[in-house]
Amino acid sequence: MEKRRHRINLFDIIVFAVIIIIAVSGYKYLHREKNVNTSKLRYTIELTDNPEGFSKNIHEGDKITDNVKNYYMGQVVSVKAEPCKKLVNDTVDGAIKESVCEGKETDIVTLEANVTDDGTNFRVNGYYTVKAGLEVAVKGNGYAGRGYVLTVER
Amino acid sequence: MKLIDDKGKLFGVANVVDALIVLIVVVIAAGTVYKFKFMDKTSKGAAMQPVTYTVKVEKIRNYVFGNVKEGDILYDKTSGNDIGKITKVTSEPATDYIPMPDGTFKKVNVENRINVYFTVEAQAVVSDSGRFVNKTYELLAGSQKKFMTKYFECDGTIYSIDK
Repeated sequence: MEKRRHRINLFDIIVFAVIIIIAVSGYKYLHREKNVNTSKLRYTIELTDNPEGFSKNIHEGDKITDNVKNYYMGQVVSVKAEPCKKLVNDTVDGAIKESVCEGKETDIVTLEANVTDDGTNFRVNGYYTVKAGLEVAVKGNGYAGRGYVLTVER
Repeated sequence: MKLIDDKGKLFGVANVVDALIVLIVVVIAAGTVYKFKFMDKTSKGAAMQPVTYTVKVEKIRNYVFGNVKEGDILYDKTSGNDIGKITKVTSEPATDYIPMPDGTFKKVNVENRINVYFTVEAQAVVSDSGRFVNKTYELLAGSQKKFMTKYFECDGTIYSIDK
């Protein structure tokens, strides 16, 4: 039986051309040049709703990681315990007040890390994005906590 | 003549799959040309003009003043697009409504919380269908969005748009 030879037609050429264009565009997009600077950044996080005395678990030099994605977040520079306060409705006087939660504390932790700066975001080691207002779930050596990024030093 | 013959060719000319691929390529090309040549807001010829709008962020702590400065670039968090430059930051004591024992709602101050207003200047296409910052981000007063700068992120509302 005669073997049928495959002849390349116009449509095959169009398909190849489209695939090549997509591949080249994809490669160029993924390897586009970005100006990324590296620097040292200090930022402060608060860990709320902790039991009184919790700050004794956190030590200067501790390495902190994100407890969700396991990204490195930085090294502890300082820690300070403050009263834990929550907003409550005072329907007697007609006000919304901050009230101290007895037996609980908020820990203010300052972290330092090497970050990349692409002009829009600071990322610790190129991964963990640091912005004030972001919710955080962190873990250190033998402890964990939740809260927010409070400030990013300029 | 059959629509698709015994060899699977459309009108005896082209393979059905090949014809579909050509059709898809033509549709994509036509869509691209339409978007960038003929659509008012995205065409290269669309004139941009300065717009000023205000973003309101409610009930936040005064840490914000350390994190947001005049001159910072504001981005839409969802797309990551630049949506203007912050030119002014103002604040007022935050308020909210609480239910009172007599069955009424009372507007009260929230202790240690502020409402912050960012005045933002940007370039936008202004047309009958709206204002589009950098041709893509539609400004709608009252819309709730996620905003960010290099240092800060928040949920806020587009409070007002100046004409």
